[in-house]
Amino acid sequence: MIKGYWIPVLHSHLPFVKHPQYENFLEEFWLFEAISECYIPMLQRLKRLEDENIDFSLTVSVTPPLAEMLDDIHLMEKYERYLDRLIELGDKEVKRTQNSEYENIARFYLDFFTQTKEFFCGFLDRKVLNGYRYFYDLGKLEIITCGATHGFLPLLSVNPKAVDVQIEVAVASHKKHFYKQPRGIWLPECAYYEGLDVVLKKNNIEFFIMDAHGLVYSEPTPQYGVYSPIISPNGVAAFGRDHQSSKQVWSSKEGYPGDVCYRDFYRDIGYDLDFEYIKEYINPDGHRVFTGYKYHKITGETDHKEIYNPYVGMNKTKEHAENFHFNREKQIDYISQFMDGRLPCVVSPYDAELFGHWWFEGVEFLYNMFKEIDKYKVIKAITPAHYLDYNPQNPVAIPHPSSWGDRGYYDVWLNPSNDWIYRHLHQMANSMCSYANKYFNSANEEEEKTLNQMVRELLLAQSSDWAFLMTTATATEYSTERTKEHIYNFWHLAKMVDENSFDEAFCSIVEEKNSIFEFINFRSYSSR
Amino acid sequence: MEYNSAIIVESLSDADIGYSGLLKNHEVFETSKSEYEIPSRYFVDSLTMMAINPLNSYIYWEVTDETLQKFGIPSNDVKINISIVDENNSEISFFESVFSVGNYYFHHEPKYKFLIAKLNLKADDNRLIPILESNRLKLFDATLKGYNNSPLYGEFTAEDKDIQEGDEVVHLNSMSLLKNKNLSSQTLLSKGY
Repeated sequence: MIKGYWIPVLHSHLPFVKHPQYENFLEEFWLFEAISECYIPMLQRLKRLEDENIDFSLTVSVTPPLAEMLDDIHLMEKYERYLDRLIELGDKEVKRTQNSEYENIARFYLDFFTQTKEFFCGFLDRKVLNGYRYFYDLGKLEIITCGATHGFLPLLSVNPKAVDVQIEVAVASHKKHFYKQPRGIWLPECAYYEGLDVVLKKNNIEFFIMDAHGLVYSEPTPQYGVYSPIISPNGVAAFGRDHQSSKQVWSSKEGYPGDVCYRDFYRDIGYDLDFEYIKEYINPDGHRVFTGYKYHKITGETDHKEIYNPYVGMNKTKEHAENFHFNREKQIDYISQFMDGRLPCVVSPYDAELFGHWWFEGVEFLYNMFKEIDKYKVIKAITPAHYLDYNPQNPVAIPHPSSWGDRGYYDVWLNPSNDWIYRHLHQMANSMCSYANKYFNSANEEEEKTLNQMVRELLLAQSSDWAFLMTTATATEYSTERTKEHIYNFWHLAKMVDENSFDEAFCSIVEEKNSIFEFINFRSYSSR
Repeated sequence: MEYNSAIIVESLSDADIGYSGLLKNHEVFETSKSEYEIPSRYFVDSLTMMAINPLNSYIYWEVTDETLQKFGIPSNDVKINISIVDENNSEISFFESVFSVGNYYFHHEPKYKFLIAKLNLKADDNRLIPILESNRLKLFDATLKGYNNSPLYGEFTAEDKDIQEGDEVVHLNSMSLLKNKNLSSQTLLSKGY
């Protein structure tokens, strides 16, 4: 008998990065790493579950910028060349480590990247999104959308149109890539503000996810805590994050990923080996990067790292999956006594990159968790949409403004390291509204193309990734430059429209580079 | 409808608020000169408030040279007074600036429903000339609303006879919650919650 539900949610996002003028660009590696370590390994495990007739349900958010990149022919061709280089590196490494204690692990990675390429070219037909679409169509994967460019909506809401367009474009993008209306949304950074549900409802979104305090501090306090969703005043369901299940997995100190037999993230031959040997496989300008060839395990709190054994690591995930399942069952048993007969749901959202990238064995853990669930059949893995189908009546409450950022509110995205961006974003949105109203009926072809590109630049400037990277002081220079680039492009394009003088060369460059959302229509910003 | 105390304790247990993006001390890093020149101002009068968390908010403004000129204020001798008022139009805070383009972080109690900022120019005779009013900023009420707005939990002290040695007390937002699964909901409810 099913005692309760487990709702795993993986949030997959990367900022839109495309530099067609360079064969190797450092920030494009973020995408290629995520595909190799995270998205393809996850899809491979889902395929294995299907082939083994193991039931599973998983919710995954694929943000619009990520979907655009994963469907971009230029980037997918680059990715295939990236894989070829890694396979070539694998051949070299097997030769270099022959008869040494590293030979087995080198062979493991050669096999890993070879199988990744086979899966990419075979089952995925050279487009990663094909795998997502396959399981979405089967009803095993619920794919939800996110803000168009992951804009931090509460801080954009100074101009409500900015939020309207982030959601409207997100839904349109989802329909373009997945041929369906998304039922749910992963609000960027789970950031909610009062009244956002009106916009979601207008776009036929049925649910979103919040951090626990966002739900618990709702008005009135929800009867079932985070173990049932609430319905907002405008009829959108909010599901609250369960911290116990989150912490067991994501905490590097207390959680499973810190186990000493798991792969160490930081020791990589891209940094460890001689520059002359490795230079063709890192950034051509000499900037060392991760290659994915990581030969050591966590070992413990020591600088001396032992050689990683992937067989031991993958096997460990069985033990952790058993433990996780056991804890979920006990948790559900405990909570059930307070639920008035309603089956509780434990919502466990994570960044998808935790599984496979930060925690290499994480995807195997997920695979084993679904096997445990299928074995015992006392808890059921479902999606938020399933829960709403089973339980259409839920407590009504006004969700509390919040985010899942550090300290629970908006601090990460608004502080002295990044506050300068907002007067620009707000003014750009205000101006876009004026242009949209002015040219609604009168734009000629040139003006239309330029105004549409202005919307793209605005959306890209609104990406919350830039503010986040400024706060965490990683890639500060890149994120500052990207923000300024989009602000500059926007006003440069606006000047062309004002002066009726179009710089074809400039337009051509920005349209190719910032080619996201080809369906965009500047009229979305109008008040008509 | 009432909520169940034990469920709320469970919902907030292990709550390490904030998963994404650890805040460091605010370091503003110098970056090398950008190839992109962006506007330093927009020549539009504006006054905007943005909430950060229940206790802190942010405000930015621009007063155009045209506006300054209209009131006879030289652009190199600007004195701005920004007053922050609550829903009853009572001033809760104010600050002054000599910059026609600027920003400010301010701290406030969470007890207000909403705040509005009012920008005044200060004339030579210290007269305040009202120029701009901001958007209305709704504040966050990070409390358990409950039924009849009553708080759920009180302070537990070490002398409380139901607290055993080794019980874990979780401190959350200045309220102390007793976190012990062995304490039944009956015990919590018997304390009047």
